[in-house]
Amino acid sequence: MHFLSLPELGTLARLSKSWRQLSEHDYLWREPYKARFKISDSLLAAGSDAAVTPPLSCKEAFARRLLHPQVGDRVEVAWRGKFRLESLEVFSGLAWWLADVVARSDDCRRYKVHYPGWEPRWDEWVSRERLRWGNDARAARLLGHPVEVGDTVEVWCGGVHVPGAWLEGRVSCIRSDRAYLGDMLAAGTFSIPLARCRLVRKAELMARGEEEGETVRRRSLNVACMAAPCGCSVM
Amino acid sequence: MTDATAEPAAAEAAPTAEETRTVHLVSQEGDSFDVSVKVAKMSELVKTMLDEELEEDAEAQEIPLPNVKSSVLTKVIEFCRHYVEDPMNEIEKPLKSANMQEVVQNWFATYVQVEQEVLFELILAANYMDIKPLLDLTCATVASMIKGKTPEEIRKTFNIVNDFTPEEEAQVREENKWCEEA
Repeated sequence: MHFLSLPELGTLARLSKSWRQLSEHDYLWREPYKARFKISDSLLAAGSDAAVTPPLSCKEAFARRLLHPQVGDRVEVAWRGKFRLESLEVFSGLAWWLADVVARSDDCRRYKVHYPGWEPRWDEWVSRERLRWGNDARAARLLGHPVEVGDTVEVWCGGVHVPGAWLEGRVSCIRSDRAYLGDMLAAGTFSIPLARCRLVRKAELMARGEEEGETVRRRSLNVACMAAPCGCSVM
Repeated sequence: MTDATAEPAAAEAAPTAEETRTVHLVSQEGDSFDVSVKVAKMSELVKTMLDEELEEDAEAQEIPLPNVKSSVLTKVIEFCRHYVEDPMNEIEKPLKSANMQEVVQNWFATYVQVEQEVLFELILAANYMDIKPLLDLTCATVASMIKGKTPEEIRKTFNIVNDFTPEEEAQVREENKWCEEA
């Protein structure tokens, strides 16, 4: 952990030309990079990705690694389908399953993923669009903000023998201490105690156009994301 | 070196060779600054350039620092001199407060109350001379400056001139978008 978070380093780059130059110094990026990808000093010195020449700055290496996860990285894979929760309520929509990258195509577009706890026969090749890094950092930044209608939240659906998945939905209504997730209304009402929701996107920020890139990415995801078989349960 | 520190009567002990021997740090403009070896060694860069084999009575070594202006070097030396007498607290990460007075001792908090141009130069010098405590202090100060502010708010607060064209600004924003997402 360093003094400046990634969004703060991004902000620094936007101030002026000289601050931008300063914001890209390895000194500022080395620690966050090492911490994020658990890279040792010796590995850093050797260059973590042998295929990369000439050597990249820590910031460039960080960006590249985010864009192209490496074998061994823990990621999350998008699944669209129905998921049964502990309460036997059925969630139908987008879920993000914990997975490990076990192989990568040469063009970095396709990734073979293994779902921890599942037999290797469930391993599969997926496109980059279906992968994401965990949302923990984003959720941590929004911790303490109240959940409101229009916000996007995630609900952890843990398994007994497997890590599980994050179920994602937009809040359409809040009644007493329960959130009703909008995407599910078509398939019946799905509600969940607010305490179980973690906030990952504020509606007002989206409206302000803070995350246009995100909208585009999500639209492409909807196309790319295959439907998971019905009745997929992590119980 | 010497066992002066091991003696209980340290105050009366003779100063160590590191304290009496001096070196000349030479700035970009060619100005020479006399500092003790002990102070100069705060800089990892200077440390590697020091000739340890020098005779006791040899002339003081000159260390050229062509990347550092006199005004900045003065400020850097001020930091190092104070630090060897009274080392700065380790700064907690992440910062526990945006008020530097609550993060480090008073002297260091006052030391970084400077114009943003000076702070900027100090970071560059600390990075070049490889003085970790000074880098930590100055970067922590930057972090405290920008916490929770938009770029426009930061520019206003610290009189930073936005020298990007609108096109460049859009491009920089796009290039750094992933920092928000990560």
